[in-house]
Amino acid sequence: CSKDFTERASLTQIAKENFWKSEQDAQLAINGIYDAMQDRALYSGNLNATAGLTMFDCFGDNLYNNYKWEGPGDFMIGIITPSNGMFSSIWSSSYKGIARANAAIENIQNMSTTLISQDKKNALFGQALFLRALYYFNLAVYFQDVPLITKVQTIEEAYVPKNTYQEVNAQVIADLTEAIDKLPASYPATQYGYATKGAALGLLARVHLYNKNYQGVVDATTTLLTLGYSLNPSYAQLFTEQGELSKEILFSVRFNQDVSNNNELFSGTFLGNPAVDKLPMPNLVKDYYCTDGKPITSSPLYDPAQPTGTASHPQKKNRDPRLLASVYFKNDTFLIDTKARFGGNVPTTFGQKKYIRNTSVSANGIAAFNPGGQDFIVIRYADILLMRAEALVELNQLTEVYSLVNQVRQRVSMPTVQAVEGASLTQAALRDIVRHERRVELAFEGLRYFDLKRWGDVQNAFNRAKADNVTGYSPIYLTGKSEIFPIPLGELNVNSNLVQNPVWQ
Amino acid sequence: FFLLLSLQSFSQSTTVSGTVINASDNTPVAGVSVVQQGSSKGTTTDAKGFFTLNVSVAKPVLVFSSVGYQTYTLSWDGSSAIAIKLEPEVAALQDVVVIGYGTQKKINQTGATQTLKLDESVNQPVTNSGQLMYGKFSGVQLTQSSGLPGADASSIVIRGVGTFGSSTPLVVIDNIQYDNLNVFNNLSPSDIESISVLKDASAGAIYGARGANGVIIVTTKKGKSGSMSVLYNNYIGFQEVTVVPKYLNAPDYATLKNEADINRNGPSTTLRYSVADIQAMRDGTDPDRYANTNWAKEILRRAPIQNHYISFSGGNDRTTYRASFGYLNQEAVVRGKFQSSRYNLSLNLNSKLTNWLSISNSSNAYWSRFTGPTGGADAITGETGIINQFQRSSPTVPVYYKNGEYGTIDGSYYSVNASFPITNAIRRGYLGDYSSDELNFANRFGININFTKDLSFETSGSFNIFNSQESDFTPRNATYDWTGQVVAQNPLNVLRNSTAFNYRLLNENILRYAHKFKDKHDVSVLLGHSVQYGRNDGFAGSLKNFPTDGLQEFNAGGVTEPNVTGGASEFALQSLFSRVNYSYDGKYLLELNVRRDASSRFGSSYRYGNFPSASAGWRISEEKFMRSINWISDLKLRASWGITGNDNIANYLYAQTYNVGLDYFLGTSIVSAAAVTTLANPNIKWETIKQYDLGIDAGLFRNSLTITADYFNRNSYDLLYSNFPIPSSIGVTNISAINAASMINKGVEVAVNYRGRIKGGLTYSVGGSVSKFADNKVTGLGDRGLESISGVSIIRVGVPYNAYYGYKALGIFQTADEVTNAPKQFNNPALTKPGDIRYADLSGPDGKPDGLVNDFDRTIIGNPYPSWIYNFNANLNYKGFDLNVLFEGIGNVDRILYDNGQLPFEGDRNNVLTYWLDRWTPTTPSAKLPRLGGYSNAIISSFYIQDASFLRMRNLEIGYSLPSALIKRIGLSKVRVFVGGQNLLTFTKLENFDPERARGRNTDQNVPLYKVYTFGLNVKL
Repeated sequence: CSKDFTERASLTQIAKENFWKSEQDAQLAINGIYDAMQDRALYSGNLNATAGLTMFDCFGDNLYNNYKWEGPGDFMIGIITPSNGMFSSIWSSSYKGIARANAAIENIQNMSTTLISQDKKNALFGQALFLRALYYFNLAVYFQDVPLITKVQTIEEAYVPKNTYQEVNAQVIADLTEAIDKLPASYPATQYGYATKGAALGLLARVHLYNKNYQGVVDATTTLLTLGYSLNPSYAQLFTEQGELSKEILFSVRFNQDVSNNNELFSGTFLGNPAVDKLPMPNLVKDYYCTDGKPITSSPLYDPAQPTGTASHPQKKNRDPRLLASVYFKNDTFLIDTKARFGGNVPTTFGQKKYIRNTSVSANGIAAFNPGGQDFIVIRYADILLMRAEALVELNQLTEVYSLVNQVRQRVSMPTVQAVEGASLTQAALRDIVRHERRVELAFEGLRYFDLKRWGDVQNAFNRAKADNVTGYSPIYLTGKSEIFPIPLGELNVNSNLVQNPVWQ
Repeated sequence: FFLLLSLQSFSQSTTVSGTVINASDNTPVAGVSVVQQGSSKGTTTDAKGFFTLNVSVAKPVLVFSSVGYQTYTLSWDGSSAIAIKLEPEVAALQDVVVIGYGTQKKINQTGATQTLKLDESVNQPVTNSGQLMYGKFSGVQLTQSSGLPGADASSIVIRGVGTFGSSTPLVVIDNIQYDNLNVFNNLSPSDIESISVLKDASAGAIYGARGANGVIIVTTKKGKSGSMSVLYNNYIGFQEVTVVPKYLNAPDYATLKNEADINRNGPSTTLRYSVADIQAMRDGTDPDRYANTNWAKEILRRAPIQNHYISFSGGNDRTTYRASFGYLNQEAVVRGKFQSSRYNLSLNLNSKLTNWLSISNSSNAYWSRFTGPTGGADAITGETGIINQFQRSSPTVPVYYKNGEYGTIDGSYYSVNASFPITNAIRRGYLGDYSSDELNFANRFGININFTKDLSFETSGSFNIFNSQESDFTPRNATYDWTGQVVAQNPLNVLRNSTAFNYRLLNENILRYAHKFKDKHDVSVLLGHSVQYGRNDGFAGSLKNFPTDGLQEFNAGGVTEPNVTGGASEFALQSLFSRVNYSYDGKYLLELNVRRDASSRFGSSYRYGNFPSASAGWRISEEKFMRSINWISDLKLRASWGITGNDNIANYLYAQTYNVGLDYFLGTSIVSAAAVTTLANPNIKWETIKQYDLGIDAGLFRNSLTITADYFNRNSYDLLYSNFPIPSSIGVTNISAINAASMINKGVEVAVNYRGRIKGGLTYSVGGSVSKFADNKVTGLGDRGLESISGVSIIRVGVPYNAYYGYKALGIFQTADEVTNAPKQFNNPALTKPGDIRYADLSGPDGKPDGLVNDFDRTIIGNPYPSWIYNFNANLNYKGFDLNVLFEGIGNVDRILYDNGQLPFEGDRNNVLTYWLDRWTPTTPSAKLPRLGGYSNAIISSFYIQDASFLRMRNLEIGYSLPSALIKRIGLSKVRVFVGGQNLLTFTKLENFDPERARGRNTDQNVPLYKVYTFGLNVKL
């Protein structure tokens, strides 16, 4: 009797021994892995605090992290130290997701089919593998060598050394390969947002591309072309809440403007200026073509004599619609409800428009600097097309490349490659075209640094950023340190088996 | 007066009749049992104290007894009237102390327990009854950290902090246990009969797992047999802050602000205030833009307080009762809607059903209500709270603009940053509505069975029910500038409501046995069993966008962002306990206690804990060789040792769980999610304190001088600590605490009291105590445990828990040469200039000074715990006049004052205290204060540590009782008027802020403490 009387279990949490007893439990645990992606350091972002993945275009030449202490700014000017909170936040949030995935992978396998149907089991297992791969791939891209943990650890087991990039990468590919096999092509509308076969294929293509396994990219994307994805008719609309269910999206991290923990801040903005902590760089703005498909250096449509602050702003007039969908210029109305105009009074003179909310108060009365409900797209079909194009270029199989790039251009009514640059182009010329297309199509989606690293273009990007002469911003390229994140100091302090990345030692 | 007996003769018997009166106040006593010894004849006195009894013999032995009075036995010779007085038991209580599960004669006590007895009228204007303990106990420190009505309780620490968790002692009120001070604080002071503090392990071990922080036992007043007595006490008065901080006026502020900006940004910087602006402040020519507001003066005010109390008590020889009702109302010393009121109800019943069975019931209930502007107490504290507006609102902003709107913007700052208005403290104090209600009902029902004269059994059931409701409404609101333009607005109104329902159930069963063998071996044994169960339950909701600000309920039409949270937790405790007392011939005393507890807070392998203690005493004064020393009336040596536990930790820490409070968004709806978010510690167990105590009790000169002294040594171990190096790659960053750390507290306490009488009718007593805390430090953080630095303090082995930690300030750099020759100050030494604080280079990466002042040079800069606590008091009575004064002080204690005007013009528009007029400047170099706006002068350092020792007149009361001959005519037995005061005088070196404050960093943002002046009345019927 006394034993029972003093035996009290939590009334709000499920005891570990009582978990993994039903399909519902497994589903909850899978949702928990998704929940970790909503961390500020990963995909929900911040407005004026430690940087998350959503503003990683600040590494390189697309964006300027005006609030340098958020992380990317200090990184770019070479003063960041391994104790910076950005490193530890991304690290711990990623491993949080990995630990949740490991728990699911370990336990779902052991659940008997009397508790959970084989189909459901496959779908959940596949999602856990996909998510673990996504977390690890992010770690591998930024930190390179990291501990590879694939099981639930006890505290005693937690003091692990690093694994090599190759080991981590092999695990990512193995996980994705199995996930592709197990995941369904789609879910009912009420479950929109769960990882699909397409999501896993898309991520696998990205992993292969990063590792320069171009045939792997082609193989993965070949299947993807048949899965029913297509480009969203409107480019601008895709990055608003109205575009969240678009057929272009292979995988997004979902957010909802509610009072739970589902909200994001990467689309938030102050009411005086649009999202002043991340500002489009002049070299990016100049890199968009004019509507004739030609760069501003050669297009007759470009007229630098026009005054700024008007509709005929030289950077605005006759330009790729994607520029106008992505960037605010001086005197643009950036809050449509209060008709607030952007003063251009920021160091780069430009404001980010893509993904940024354009009303001071949302439909349910929440201010624009407070949490919102914009999804962040991790993989979309335009990226698939351009990855395939890039892989084919590198394999020197050039024929299909034109149509792939043209699909992306024609969505925004830009002329085809053939019409502007011509047909029968060299591999090198097509490589430049594909890389340029990637930059303007995918700007501010957090992929730029990943691209620059793959292309060996980081140093050039630093130089382009420096050449913009933005007041108060002087990027300094440091070989190695500008390409790899240091292992967070706090982790090194608590785990003597962990060794700092050599370039940061 | 006398017990009057008259005689009437009958054939075979005699009739006795007479009246019984109370010896202390000469009032008749009803319900006194009058029994003829050795017969079945007996009766009771009536309402006038009169009785008639037939007795069977001519010279009977009559026994007069009544609850609350000493039994009186009279051998009546049947002829003459005899003078007797029936003494109330209160007098006997003087020598009895309340201990765990019982009482004990003070002379037989072997543990360290101190008891405070309270008069029937307690007039001290304390709003929390715990504050009655100020200055009355040795080894006990009370600290009040806020003067906000309803939130102005003091923390209580017995013999130093012995845990990293809560060091609040266990409180037992009328045998019901409470794990916080709430119920104690909300008792009506006049309901309290005694407060006992069990300090050592011997006294506390009977409470086992809950006794580690010491135990406070409170008993409430019970009824006494006799005619009904009605008591009415009141006081009315007002409160004012103990210190009003002095801030710069607007012209000085503007001048110094300009100077700070030049120091910070160079001589060519654009100045905030022009000469004309400053002149406007002096002349008052542009009050909207250049006002001269003394915010501290605007915000603080004199506030009323009143208290009323009435009790009814009485009974007969079988049943006694006491019922009381109290009311307290207190407004805040801060302008605004802040107000607190409390209603108290108490009812105690005791009844002897038969000579072997008695029952008792005590009930105690209070309803307290706090109202204020939106945010409640949050409106007042914190960075943007009202109190911090002393500094945060520049004096150049008017309280009101000429257009009637609240002032929010400094005229010059407006052109720099229009969207950054001040918090207008007066507006804040009246904006929106907040209310919180607390309802608490405690009841204990007990049954006592006397099997034999020596053996009794008591069983009791108690509950304590707590219900709270909170409602917070923020209206739509906007602030405007002097032209009427909107500066800031809040377009949505919000209602937040929350409710909590907590209860505790307790059943205790106790067997008591006491017997004296062979007239020398006095043995008593107590065996007990107790089960406790508690549950906390509650939920909170919020909703926005109501059509009107006038209706403030959820059903009033809010539509935006509905949000609900809630939860519950429970705990259970089952215990067996025993105490054995043995005394040989009244000379050699021995006491053994043991308690075995099982607590739901621990996993099955660590659920049980055993807590033994032993103590012994030697009453030297009873030895034959001492008999000849007449001036020593009483002398006792005592020693104790024991182990007590602390289970005051969170529930469920041992159990690994999946947190199902997560979620994700899919399709168009939110789905729940689950994950392990905290790593449990399955091996979690009790925190433990091992304590020994050596003491001496002496009574000299017929006990007119009493001395008690104790040395204690408290060794805490298995303390919960959570700062261990765990890689975050394990996927969880919250780790449950581990029983790893240890601490030690040592000290000496001495208390002396003297009672005397001077011819002519002056009686007096004086007393005092001194406690010296010799050693208080952390002794271990466990294997791999890391030091914890948080804000201004550190947890480090070898120094006091949470010692202040920062840089050591050596003085002020006076010349450029000094700067050049000194170790480099931080990473940007070029910014250091004459006038900046010079910090010591104490260490470096290799543990040696490295010519650079940085993180490595931080050190212990202060001790937040006092070395000394002392108090003294005096009571005088002379012909109806009485005077009661109590002083209390603490010595050698540090506080950090780091905010609210103490920093040299940090922030963009913060005011400073007036002492900054003596800052360092090139022409008036100061050796004490740095320049304004300099480099690194605002970091945490010894510069901001101040000695917060103080001596305070805690209480003063002067009363006059009207002559009883006069008031008897109108049927009253007592009328007394008094004037009183609380915290009237304070002697301290600390300026601008009250020295009594919590040890944290921003305590100067709390509501200042107040003093109270009262006038009151005590009437007894």
